[in-house]
Amino acid sequence: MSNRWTHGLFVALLFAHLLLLSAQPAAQGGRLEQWVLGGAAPIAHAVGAGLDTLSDLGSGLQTNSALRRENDALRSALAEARSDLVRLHGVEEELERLARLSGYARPAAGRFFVADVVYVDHTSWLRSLVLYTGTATARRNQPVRTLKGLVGRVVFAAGRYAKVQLITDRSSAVSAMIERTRRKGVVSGTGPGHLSLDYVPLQADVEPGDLVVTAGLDGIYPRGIPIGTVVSIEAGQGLFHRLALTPAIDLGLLDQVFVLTTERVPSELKSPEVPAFPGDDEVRDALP
Amino acid sequence: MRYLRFLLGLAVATALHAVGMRLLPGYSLYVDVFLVLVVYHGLTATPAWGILGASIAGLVADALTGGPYGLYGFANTVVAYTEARLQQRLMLQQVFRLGLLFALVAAFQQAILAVLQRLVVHGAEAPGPGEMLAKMVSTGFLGMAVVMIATRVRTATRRWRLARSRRLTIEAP
Repeated sequence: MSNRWTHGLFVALLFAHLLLLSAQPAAQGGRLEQWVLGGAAPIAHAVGAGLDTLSDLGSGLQTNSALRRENDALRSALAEARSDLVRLHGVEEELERLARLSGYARPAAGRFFVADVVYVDHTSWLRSLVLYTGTATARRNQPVRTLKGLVGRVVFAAGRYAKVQLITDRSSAVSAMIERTRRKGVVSGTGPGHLSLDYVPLQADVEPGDLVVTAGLDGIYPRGIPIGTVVSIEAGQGLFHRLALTPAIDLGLLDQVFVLTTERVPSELKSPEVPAFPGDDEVRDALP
Repeated sequence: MRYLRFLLGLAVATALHAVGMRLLPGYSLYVDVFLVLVVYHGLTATPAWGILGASIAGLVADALTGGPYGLYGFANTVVAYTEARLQQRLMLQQVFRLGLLFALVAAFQQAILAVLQRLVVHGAEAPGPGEMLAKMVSTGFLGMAVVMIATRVRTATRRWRLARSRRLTIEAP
């Protein structure tokens, strides 16, 4: 093939890539990425399944006494979890009774489905997480969490796989609040394993050790999911603090996560005649 | 057959990348098997096919990363084109010199990614000098290993074919 053909191909490919880059984020996860992720994710999934099988074989070689010790530990953990469950059922019933008495329209608890983590990269510049959702289908902007805290949100779904933006990603932003004082702010990622809570006024009451949870104001994450703990308080821009947080979850230990299926907005509120948020079409379109 | 070999290489690179990420958390900071595939493919294929293959490998790498889609595709395309131009001017056959080529290409790719990220990603991070050096060294060594293994496989295959054709000649009436 001639040099001219090679140069032409090079320029055409560069132009195509630039178009692809400039189409972000509105067209994030176009057909091409869907197709490519659909091809690459099963390979990562198969590799993970193979490594898990090898690891299971290894643990199958444990001695009898080690297995007995593990069994005892699991039994006591299960007994503790059962008693916690009974206690929490009681708390939930009382909460519902009080909500009915006071006429408080408590938001209904959303449903979720479990997804397996097939690929996680939480240390490089461009952090990502790929999930296998099985028969369930993930949708854009669905929150992802574990029992311990918030992981991120689905940014792209390709069949049975979904890509998640981690909360430690620099382009991630979560509406949050300090649980003790209910002071609001915005949590953003600042690097591998680091978060910061910004826009907290200088006069706000905040201490190291305060738990930060989702505030539920961004229309994506429901309220009350743990995000992290304050470790240091620094001067931020202007009249605000900059709080450094450690995430509530260890991103390196993710195995299975919960993908929250948020409550659907009634169709009447989404009709053009009765806009849910007049003049804010983007927010309305982002709602499930 | 050439296209199948590339696709097989791409699948192997994806599997190796997934294994590396499972076993070593900071793996992608220090090793890029897709880049090794891109450079090796550029050494063995025509310039146009080398550039196209690099673009495809970059898009696969993009699908597994969290940044804008097309970042690695763009960087690998530029890298493959530069490699094709260098090959037209230099004859690199010694394994050590090829390893050096792999390492320099890794540095070039990191630089392109750093610049692109600054332009496209809000609050982008630049690679540290340690990470850049580690990636250059790992890519260089991996590249040398791939070239050596591929050369031995090619030599063994050629010898086997030669021995087989001699047997067929002797056996024919």
